Amino acid sequence: MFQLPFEQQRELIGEGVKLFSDLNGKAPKAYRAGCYGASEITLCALRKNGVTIDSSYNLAYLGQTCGFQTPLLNAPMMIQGVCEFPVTVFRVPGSAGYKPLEISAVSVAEILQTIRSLQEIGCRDAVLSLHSFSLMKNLGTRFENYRPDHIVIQRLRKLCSSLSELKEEVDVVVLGDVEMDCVSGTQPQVVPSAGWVRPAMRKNCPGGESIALVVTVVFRIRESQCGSSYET
Amino acid sequence: MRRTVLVAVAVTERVSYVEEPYMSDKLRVYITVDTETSMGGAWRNPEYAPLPLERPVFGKYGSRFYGISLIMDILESYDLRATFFTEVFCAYIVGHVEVEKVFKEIRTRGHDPQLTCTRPIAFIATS
Repeated sequence: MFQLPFEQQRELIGEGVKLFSDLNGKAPKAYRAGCYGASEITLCALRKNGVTIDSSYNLAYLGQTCGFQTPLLNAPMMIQGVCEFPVTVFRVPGSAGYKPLEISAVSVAEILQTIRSLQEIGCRDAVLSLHSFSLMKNLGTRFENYRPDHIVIQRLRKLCSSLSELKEEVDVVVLGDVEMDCVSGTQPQVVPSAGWVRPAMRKNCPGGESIALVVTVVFRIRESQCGSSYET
Repeated sequence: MRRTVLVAVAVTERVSYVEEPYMSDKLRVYITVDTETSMGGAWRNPEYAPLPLERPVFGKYGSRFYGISLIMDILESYDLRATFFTEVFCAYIVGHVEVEKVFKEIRTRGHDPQLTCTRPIAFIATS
């Protein structure tokens, strides 16, 4: 989408907004491009069509399908008159790139640790993502042999349970309810590190997240003695 | 949902009150669900069409559903809501009625439908 010239993007989004309004009975307030394929030009096209929130920025896809020029965004920022809510990412030491908080790809422990890290450094917003087909596996090109993915289903239950227990520290809200003057545009743009223990446990020992929790506490104490693990 | 604090500002002999938005210390978490069909190989092979919503959106498997309905079941059992970015151009392929069903389910269950556009689907749908 972002490769198209402004006028074409404006027309395409305009048609999408009209279709959405016809089907839903109400115009959209927020937008996400398929495959995160948006750029600053897309934001101008959204503004022209009355859409005030975008959530297409994803550091994990930047320079690939995601066409933004703005470097390292991991917290909301006003760009081209549209409030950009990037999909929250974290770093895994020893591996290149970033991991988005996508329930089918990362563990609950990694999500919660990233949320806590962001909170500690003064961030106020975190965006998690999943797909309508995230609770299924073996999708294939035409979903020929797909079946339920009980690991991810259980993971979503665990995440919801954990977020529910954290209600004194965390509010789970929807983008459609965002009041623009309550969004702080001065949040630190930081990518937390998950350390190496949790990702290793996710890959090698799916049931070992609680062991990872104990080991990580020890390593975080060491990290705090040796310096910050954040990238800014 | 939104609270306000009153800030007293002394200007010479007058005192006026400026309303400022209340910024909670809580971290806001947004759970977002990209709700879209799959091209199903149609981009490379023109004999194929994008998949009907039954599979990639509703996740029908036998007599059960593992798509957005199950996601909403799980969220609601913990009193949580999510934003569902819903692809609309597929309405030209699978029919408006089918996509209206998706919106109806999201809306009537108290969740938040928002817009997503996928360029290949838009291209196939409008060409």
